[in-house]
Amino acid sequence: MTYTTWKTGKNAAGWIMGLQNLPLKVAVFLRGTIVAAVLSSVHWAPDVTLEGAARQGMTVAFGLVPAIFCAVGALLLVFGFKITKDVVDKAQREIDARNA
Amino acid sequence: MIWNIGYVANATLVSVVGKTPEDKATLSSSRATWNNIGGLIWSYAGLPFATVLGGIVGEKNQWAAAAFVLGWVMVLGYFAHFKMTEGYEEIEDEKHAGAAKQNKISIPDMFKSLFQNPQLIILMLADLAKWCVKFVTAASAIYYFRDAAGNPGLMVPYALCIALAAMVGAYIVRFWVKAMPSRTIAIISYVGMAVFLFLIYVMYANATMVIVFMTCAQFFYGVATPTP
Repeated sequence: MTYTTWKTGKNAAGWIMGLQNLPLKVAVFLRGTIVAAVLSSVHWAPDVTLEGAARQGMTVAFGLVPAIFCAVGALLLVFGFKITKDVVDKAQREIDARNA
Repeated sequence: MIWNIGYVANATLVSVVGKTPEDKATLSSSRATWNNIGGLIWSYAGLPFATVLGGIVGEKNQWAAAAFVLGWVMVLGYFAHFKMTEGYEEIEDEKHAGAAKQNKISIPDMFKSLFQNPQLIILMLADLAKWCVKFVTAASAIYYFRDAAGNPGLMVPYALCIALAAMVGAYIVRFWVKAMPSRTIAIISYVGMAVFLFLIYVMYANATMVIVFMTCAQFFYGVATPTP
């Protein structure tokens, strides 16, 4: 938010906070898609306890898919997100000076 | 849609009140902690609360009545925030109208700032991963405990453990930001979530260990919520 405000020279707080809601809404949509796909792949049926590979298949949605998402998220932050504390501090100082 | 307008405006207060990145992280941590406390209270008190209201307005309308009452609690809470933060924001009067107008971001500026700012896109994609942990695991938990583990009763201790872990994670992040950059905290939290969620996939046959691993994953989810 500080970085965008500094880069655009405009107050981006509302826009960025609003934008932060977008991934949340996409995740709500993905929830239904991922869970439905996994249930279908393990041939889920009501009132039937899963056995063997289907039991682990059920943890694809519960563990594996979110784990992959997080691993990708970590890689994105490591290699793609370059806004360090120094950059934010410098941007904040310049914003403060601009607004003074 | 209207709910979102108020929600985003209230969340934006963090950047208005917090003057330094550390202030903002502490406020976000507080927000995330109370968010998780709210989730925990709702998981235990939501149904009894709706049932009590159902006794007044009828079973058919009990959830609408719960939304109505809690909507008013939200209005009162947001109004309290409004009064508490008075004076932090510049008032757009005639004297400052020019500066305020110049400071406002236009719709083309919004999209320019998004597409010319890969950092923002990366942050949104990372955020998507974090929210997927919350929503996908919440939706699939009952299927795991009931249909894979064969013990739906484990949902109760599971729900309590993960809610407490997320709450603790969101709370302690305010101390971590004093010791290390929020980017580093975010990376640690994502790696932590990935490791423990993967262990769930590997140790799927042991429901107790699955609860332990998910508790650890949710602790890191709590840490990730207010960062970077």
